[in-house]
Amino acid sequence: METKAFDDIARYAAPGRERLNELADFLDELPADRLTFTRWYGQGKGCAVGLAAALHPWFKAQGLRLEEDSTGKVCWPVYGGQSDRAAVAGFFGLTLGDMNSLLDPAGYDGALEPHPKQVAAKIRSFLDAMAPA
Amino acid sequence: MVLSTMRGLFNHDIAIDLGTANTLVYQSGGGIVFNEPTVIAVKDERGGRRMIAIGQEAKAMLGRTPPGIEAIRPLCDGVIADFDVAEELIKIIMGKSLKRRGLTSARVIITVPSGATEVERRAIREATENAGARRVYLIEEPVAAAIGADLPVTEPTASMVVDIGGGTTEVAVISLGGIVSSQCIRVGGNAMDAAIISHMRRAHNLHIGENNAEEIKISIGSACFPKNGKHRRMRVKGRDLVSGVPREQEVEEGEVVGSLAEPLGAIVEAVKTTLEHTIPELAADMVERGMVLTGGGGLLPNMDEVLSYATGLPTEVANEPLTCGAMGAGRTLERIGKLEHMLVH
Repeated sequence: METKAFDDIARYAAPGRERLNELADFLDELPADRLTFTRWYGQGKGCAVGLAAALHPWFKAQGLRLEEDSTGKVCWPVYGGQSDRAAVAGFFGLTLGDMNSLLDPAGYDGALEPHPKQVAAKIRSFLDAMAPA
Repeated sequence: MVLSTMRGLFNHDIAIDLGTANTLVYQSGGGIVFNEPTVIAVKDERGGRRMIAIGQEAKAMLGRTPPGIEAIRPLCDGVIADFDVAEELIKIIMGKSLKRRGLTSARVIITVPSGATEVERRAIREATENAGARRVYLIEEPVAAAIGADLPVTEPTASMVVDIGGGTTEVAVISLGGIVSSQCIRVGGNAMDAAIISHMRRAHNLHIGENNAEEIKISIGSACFPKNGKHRRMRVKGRDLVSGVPREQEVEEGEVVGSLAEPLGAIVEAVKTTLEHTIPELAADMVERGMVLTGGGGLLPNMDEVLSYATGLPTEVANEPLTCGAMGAGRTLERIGKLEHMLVH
């Protein structure tokens, strides 16, 4: 997986569509055993958004961060003064329903650990369907 | 019975299993005389902090305290995280266990994780000495647990114990009174609770507390999916992370099994690694004798089946998994002359 230094990332506010595209690209490169819907992020594994916030400097530069509790064992995404699902929906410009379909087990027949490429493909189909005619 | 009572009256020796989640005290002749969560609640006052509750009462305060009062877990991952509070806790525990009998004449044996550093062991020893013990002995948790589970630890045969505590999991193969190979990982019941909290946040947008997570684990937690396909369910209360208001959510056993996969996977890996480092002669013993689960984690349904499936070895849960550590430490103190070589020096 290619990684970039935080300082090499251009700082600008990308629209939700670009952020979703970047997430799909990130997931295409992600090893299969890293993705799980059981938590945002922890012990090197996490959901698509949690991993992106933890590992990908571009998302950090966009303002997506992870916060953790006092034990350091539970963390969640924050963005624009909101946390968890509201933060993710706000960051990508998604409705909570779209988020459920793209980034939750509900969109993958209940699978807790779908292949990252499967999630990437679903995000791209969603973007294609949303593209202006 | 009378002799036992008389022995208890004059006996000032106690064994403390100081765990991250629970602390147990065994007294010769009295059995388990203290069994409470390792939590202490303190109130800020001029000139310092004053203890206002310990054990179950303090645990009920976790996450519910107003400013000025704090409910603290003085141990984290099996070792002391807050020295002053831990010392105060040990002092109170000793006082409660020994009642009016002189603290200063007490000999105390206390368990330490096998993976604890020299500094961490010294902290536990000093906290116990400062609490008033006349003499302090340390014993490694898996050794105490194996003795408490009635394993033949002094014989020239392999005894394998998997002690799943609140903060740590200790895996050890013991023969002739010593640890032959072992693994200590900082994953235990608390990591399972954290995994459930994370799952509830991620999957249901619901913020639940440690006590609720533990309740889910105890009520519908399991190490693997139910064989009959019937998943148990329960309703959980928490705070909705979007609206900020309290709400109830139904949770299914399968979700909990999925969320526990990571910490349980780490435990399975620790068991496998210990087996890999065990010499062939002792490994042969284990094919026959298998391993014994102790600690609160041993009570997680199907934990024995998962370990048996992963290793191919017979696995059983000790009769009283929660009290094995304290019982084993206490028995060691009762036979200190013969078992001194099993202590940490």
